[in-house]
Amino acid sequence: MTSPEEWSEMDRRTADRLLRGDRSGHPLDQVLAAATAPATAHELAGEADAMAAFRAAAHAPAPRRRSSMLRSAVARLLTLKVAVVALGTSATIGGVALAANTGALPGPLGEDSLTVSAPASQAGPQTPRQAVSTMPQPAATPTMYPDRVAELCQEFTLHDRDTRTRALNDGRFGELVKRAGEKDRERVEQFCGSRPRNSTFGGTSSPRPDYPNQSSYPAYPDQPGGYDDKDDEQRPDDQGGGQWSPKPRPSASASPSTSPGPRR
Amino acid sequence: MVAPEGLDAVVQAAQRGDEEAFRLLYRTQQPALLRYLRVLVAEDAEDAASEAWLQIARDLRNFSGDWDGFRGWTATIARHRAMDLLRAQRRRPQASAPVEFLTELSASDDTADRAMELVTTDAALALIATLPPEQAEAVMLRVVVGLDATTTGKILGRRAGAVRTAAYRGLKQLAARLPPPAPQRPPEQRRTSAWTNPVTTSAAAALKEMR
Repeated sequence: MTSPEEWSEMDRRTADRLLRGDRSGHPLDQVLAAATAPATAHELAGEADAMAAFRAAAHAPAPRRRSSMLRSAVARLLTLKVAVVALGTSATIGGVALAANTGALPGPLGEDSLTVSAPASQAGPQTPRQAVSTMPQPAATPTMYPDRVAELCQEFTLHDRDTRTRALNDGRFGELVKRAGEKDRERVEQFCGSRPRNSTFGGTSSPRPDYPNQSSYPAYPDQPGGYDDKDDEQRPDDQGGGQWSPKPRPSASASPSTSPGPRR
Repeated sequence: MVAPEGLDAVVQAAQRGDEEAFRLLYRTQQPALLRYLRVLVAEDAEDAASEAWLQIARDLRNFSGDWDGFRGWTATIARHRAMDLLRAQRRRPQASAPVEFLTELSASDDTADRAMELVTTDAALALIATLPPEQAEAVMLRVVVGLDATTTGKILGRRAGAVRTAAYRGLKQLAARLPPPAPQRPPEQRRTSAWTNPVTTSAAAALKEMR
């Protein structure tokens, strides 16, 4: 390449100007200007598709790594906490497991629970979605565990509001009434409502209390791929218990209609 | 065109979900990406671009950076999608045939003449596409996408100095292919092999480093 360059000399300086997009006076100005010319309509033909993709991404729950890590951290913490409490109470009460477990998990509960499923399904993503399709009846006789009151509260709030007054007549709640000070629905509700949920209501007695709520995190369906692969890596970790089977747990899909509670 | 500082804010707004901001980003950046892709994968450029924008839309919230960063990021994505296409084509038996107009242009001796006469975007891109791949990419990323040498080097997996040299050589080559101002024409440099396989050789190596 000798002869062409003789008639079209280009030094570094000219090249730098061309690269910067400055007018250099060189004939290449025109070529590069054409290469950087304003868009044609044809070139922007994909705009609608791009916008659709953007909207779809915007409507998908935020795939932020930080929040999902936070979420799994919360999940772990919960798991631990519930497991500890569960160990303490598992010996006594068998049948209450489901209900207790459900209510045990803290979350942005918007309202006092009328039924178990209502708060569970309304809770945010950190709250396990869980439906209790049958009302678990306490199978065991009351024993005076420190958390007995909490369990009674839990049981009590499982009742529909309009059946609670009647439920208080049940001798089973005698202890609760005594603690609350009065056999009055509102009084008891207030009493129970003032108790910190996450620690006192945690008494579950799942047959396998080790991983009491793993199945409550069936998946993170709102996690698209890409940056969230980490979640997939964490989940097997969570399920390290492996054989924990969701047997005592009804389907993870929560819908209020499937969990009427003890309606009569 | 919006001032770059303004586009920094537009990037942020789009990240917060502002549709019009994203539209502006698309309109501002798509022509550059598409033209870059045309030099890379010729007739598949539009497919690659639309794949790229799907990914950009999806991952924008995880992107962190300003307008400059956005240009580099989107160019990287576009390049990856182009490489995907090229890999897929290589796996297919009917290997990629370069786009026809490029064939015509490169095959004919008056490519440069046409580039000068028309000075259309198409002709300019066709002319750049006749460069050796690393030069063509360096010129496109620097001039058309508007990246600096360092960012271009990151995308290509090369050092900034190597990018500068490649761009410089590319421009010299382009200048050499322009018709002379005087009536006498310079000996036409026929390049038959450089463009037929658009930017795959250097690209593959760069890709390994990038990932």
